[in-house]
Amino acid sequence: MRFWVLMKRDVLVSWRKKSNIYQPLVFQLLIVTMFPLGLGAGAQTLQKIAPAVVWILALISTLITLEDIFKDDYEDGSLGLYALSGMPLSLAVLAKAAAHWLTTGVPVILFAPVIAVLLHLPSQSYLILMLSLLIATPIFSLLGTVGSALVMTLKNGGMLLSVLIMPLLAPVLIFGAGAVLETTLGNSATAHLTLLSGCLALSVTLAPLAAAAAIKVNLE
Amino acid sequence: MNKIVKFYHEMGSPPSFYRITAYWLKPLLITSIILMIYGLVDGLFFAPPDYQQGDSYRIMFVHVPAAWMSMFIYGIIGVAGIITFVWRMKVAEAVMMASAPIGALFTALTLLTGMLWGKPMWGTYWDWDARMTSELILLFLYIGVIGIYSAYDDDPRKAARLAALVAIIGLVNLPIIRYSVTWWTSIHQGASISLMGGNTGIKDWSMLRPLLVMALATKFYYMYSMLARARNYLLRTEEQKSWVIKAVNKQSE
Amino acid sequence: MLELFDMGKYNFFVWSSISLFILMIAVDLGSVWKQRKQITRRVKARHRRK
Repeated sequence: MRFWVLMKRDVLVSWRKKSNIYQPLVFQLLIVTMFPLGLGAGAQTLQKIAPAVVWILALISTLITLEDIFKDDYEDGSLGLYALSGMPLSLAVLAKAAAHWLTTGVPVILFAPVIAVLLHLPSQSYLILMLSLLIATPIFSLLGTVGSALVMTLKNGGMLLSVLIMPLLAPVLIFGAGAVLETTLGNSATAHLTLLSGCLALSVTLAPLAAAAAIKVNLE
Repeated sequence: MNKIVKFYHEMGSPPSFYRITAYWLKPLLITSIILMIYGLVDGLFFAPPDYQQGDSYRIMFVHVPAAWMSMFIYGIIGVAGIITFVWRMKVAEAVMMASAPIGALFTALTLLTGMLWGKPMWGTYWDWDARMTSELILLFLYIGVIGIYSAYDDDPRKAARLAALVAIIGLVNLPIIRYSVTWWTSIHQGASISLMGGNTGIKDWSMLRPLLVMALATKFYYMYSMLARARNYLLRTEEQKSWVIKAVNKQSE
Repeated sequence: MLELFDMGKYNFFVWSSISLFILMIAVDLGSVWKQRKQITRRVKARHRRK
């Protein structure tokens, strides 16, 4: 019950400040413009890098939003309240991750085709692109809670958060971008997506525990 | 049996740990340096040239031990992290944070010597093969542990617990990274000659011997450096305690 | 005697690697010793103040 309350509250808070939702998308547009500017507008070149770049842009634009997952709650003291309430802290983490996914991950998934069109991604890859992002964006949010919990009392935790999260994201990127790449070559992406789902299963079970542990240490 | 248990408990207490390991430092350092000299001389001058790679394979005598140490030390950091996080043992904290810079140094050395070996072998200074890519990610893991500890410089106990958490997360993640990177390179490239070919069948004893000696030498060196750093760490974090003052005044160095 | 040191066309690579190794050990050793000097100085100063 409290899970839904917490999640709803977070979604509402993010929704009220629409820039939270727009920022990652605008960021993607800005960066994606740099690629043709740097590489030349040749459709061939762009098409070659399209699977990776769409994916990496989705990843990076999510990365910049991760620091704030717990920062505001820590600073106004509500995190302490969650810890004191009867609700298990990992459940609270899960709720925060779910809210983050709804307000950041879902827009990224929906916006991905726009970026893909700009990079001339072949048409057969769009479905797998959305599917791979659908599986992966929850992973970003979950791993993000871990990173955010670790650096939440620091003033400039963003850089450190990226350093901490990056090794965890490497397999996700390999499987996710790889899935899209395979479809551009005409192959099946099933293996990649299956492994990606495995990463999701692992994240859902382990990330809340790690994040809760980090929160407890930080609240001492 | 009782002696072992007693020893274990003594090592867990900072002043006893400090006192006991004092006698180990010099022997460890001297042994490691002797072994290094022997291993390097043996490998550089007495081992025969490889029929494929000529003399360039001799880089293996520093590259492979460094690689082995980079992984071994991270394992130690992971285990020490678990002990720190679950049982809050101060000595485990000291071992963990003492090992981190040494491990990072060995990882950097692995990458750099790998690049210097890659140029004559592959013709390029860098190649994204499974092992070098995993080694690079390992470097990020080390930087993460060191980074989070130094970020919380006002509260060393808290910093150590968070660093332990990061180390544990890294340890759990290590097999996943290894697997995914290996899988990724197997689809994208043909098998390149493994740089860490130390264990893919060196049948020549005169090549294997210096390698093993260097591996042993780096282990002894790690033990020396880790213990020395751990002792410094304990002095620093236990500054307020009386045993620290006594110990510092007692030493003749 | 000096031909022992000659690694053929790999001279630069082999000797750079070996020097890097020795350099890193030296850096590590130096930092350990410096750390120790700093700590002992600090502890002694604090004790003197008491």
